Amino acid sequence: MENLYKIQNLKHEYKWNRQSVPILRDLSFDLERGCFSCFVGPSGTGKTTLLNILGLIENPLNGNLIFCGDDLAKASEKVREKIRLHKIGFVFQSFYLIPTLTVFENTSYFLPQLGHSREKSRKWALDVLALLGLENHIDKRPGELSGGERQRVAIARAIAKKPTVVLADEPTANLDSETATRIIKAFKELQCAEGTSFIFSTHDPQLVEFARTVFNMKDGLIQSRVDQ
Amino acid sequence: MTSILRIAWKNLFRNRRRTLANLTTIALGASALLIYQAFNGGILHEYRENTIHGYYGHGQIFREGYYSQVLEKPWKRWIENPAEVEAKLSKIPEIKGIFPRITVYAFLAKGEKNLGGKGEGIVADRENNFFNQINIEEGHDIQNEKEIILGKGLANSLNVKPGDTVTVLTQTVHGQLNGAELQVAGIFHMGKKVIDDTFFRIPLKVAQELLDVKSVELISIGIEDNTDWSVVEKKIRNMDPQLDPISFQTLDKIYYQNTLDFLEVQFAFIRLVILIVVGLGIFNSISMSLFERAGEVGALRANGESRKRLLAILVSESMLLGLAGGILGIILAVGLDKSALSKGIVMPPGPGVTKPFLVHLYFEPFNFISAVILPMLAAVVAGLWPIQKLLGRSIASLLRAN
Repeated sequence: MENLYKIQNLKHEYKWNRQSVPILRDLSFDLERGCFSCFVGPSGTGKTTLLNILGLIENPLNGNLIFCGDDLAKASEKVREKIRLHKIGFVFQSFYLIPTLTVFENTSYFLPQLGHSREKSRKWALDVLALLGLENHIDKRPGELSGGERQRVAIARAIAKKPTVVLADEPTANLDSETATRIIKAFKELQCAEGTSFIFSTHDPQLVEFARTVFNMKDGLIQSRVDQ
Repeated sequence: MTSILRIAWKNLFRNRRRTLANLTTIALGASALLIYQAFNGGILHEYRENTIHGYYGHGQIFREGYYSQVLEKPWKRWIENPAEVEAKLSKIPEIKGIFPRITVYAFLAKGEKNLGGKGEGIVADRENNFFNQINIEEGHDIQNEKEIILGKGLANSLNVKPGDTVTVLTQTVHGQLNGAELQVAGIFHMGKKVIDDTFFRIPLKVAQELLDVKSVELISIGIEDNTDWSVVEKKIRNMDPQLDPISFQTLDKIYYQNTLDFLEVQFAFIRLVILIVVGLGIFNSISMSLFERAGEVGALRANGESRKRLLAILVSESMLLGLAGGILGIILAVGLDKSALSKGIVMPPGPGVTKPFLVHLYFEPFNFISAVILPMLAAVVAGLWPIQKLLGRSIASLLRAN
């Protein structure tokens, strides 16, 4: 199967009190298209930083970051911005929805920028909302929804772009277990229905259970890779 | 662009209390700007009316080369065929009043008292309707060919009152002594001692006889209030290139134009202060609002939203806030004008004016435009720095912020 990511000798560090603190140490791994993978490990181990680098939010200090065949480790912000818009969807623990827009408007936020017609954008957004069971909430604002519903809207916003990959940072951390299960099932359904790749950073054992590949991280290194 | 404006507009309702506070600040600033500008406009309008209807008219016509020079024998460059010129002027539809005049230097005698004065020959029945700002303190304006009106100081020095007779003695342009007996019709007060002590007015015909001339020194003209002077000026020059029409602004440059320029500079300074106060008033609130949205902006950027588009959305928010505040400010100012200020503001006598006057707010279309545009600019400028600061941060730092 074609590689989605090919990561070689990836290193990253942060400056803290004028000192360099290594956060990722020489990571190398591949991820295939259509993957459903998660990175697990204790806090401070570099999961979020790795997700940021995979999502082209941060440039790595060293190493190769090959995404869909292109080495983007040193790509300019303009190039990364374009790829983020067209190929990457991000979901966060804190949802980060726009409170003044309705569920439908949040979901379809990026679609006009992708060059789709109004009718097509509308249909896509409504299809995604239906897939996530939000068809009865399209005119509501995020403040009127439960945590689980808000997270589903955030997923809908990421997925409505029809990205190649969805990166989710602790997507179930703020949810009760029942809602978390619904969300994980929604991810799985989307993977099957749309062929979208999903990569998570998580502490949630439920999510780990559903993942096809699990990377265990510790101190900026991948300790093990388990294909389930 | 529509979607940017739509998102920006909706974002104004994110924190209604904060938006209301910002709107109030901007609206108060905009209405202060508008009221101050309209108040200045009102003063200038009053002063303009005083200047036009007090002495100058909308402009005066001289013979070419007369106004700009001091001549030994000025009457040699007066308008020699006034009837002909008046006939031509009366064909210009914008001209509503034609007032020929002559300056006369003379001695005024009453009993044993003999004082020098500067007088003006006028066509009284025409001038009395148009020049309605002359402050006649006693008696009335000239009503026939045998009357004279005097400045208050001059009348006091001569010890005359309405109904008394004075003798006006002068030289003709040929150097012979000439005189006329005239009855005092009224005593006026112009507010300037130098004028009140020396100035008098007599009928034009009497002045021409005293000087033995058929010509007039100048012709004041009144035009329709909404007519542009430059149109009339052009028509007069085209009609007779020997005539030199000069607007009242130029004739009264020392008072009218300088007052206008003075008030303009004063207003520009106060406007700047108001805009700075408005800008600083909303700066903190805008900064706070943007700081709270760091995570949201980070999430949007992580999903591919461009800095340029976010800049457009955030600047549009400030712009719309300024626009809405400006419109509210106009409503507030006009509301005040129609209610608390509807009777005008009583002002003490201004320069060249002898009695208190009432100022009504005088709104011009440009005032409304600037009352919207300037607060809008202030809001945009107040928002620019925090917006740039927010968008300059890395996405990772934005996401860590909340």
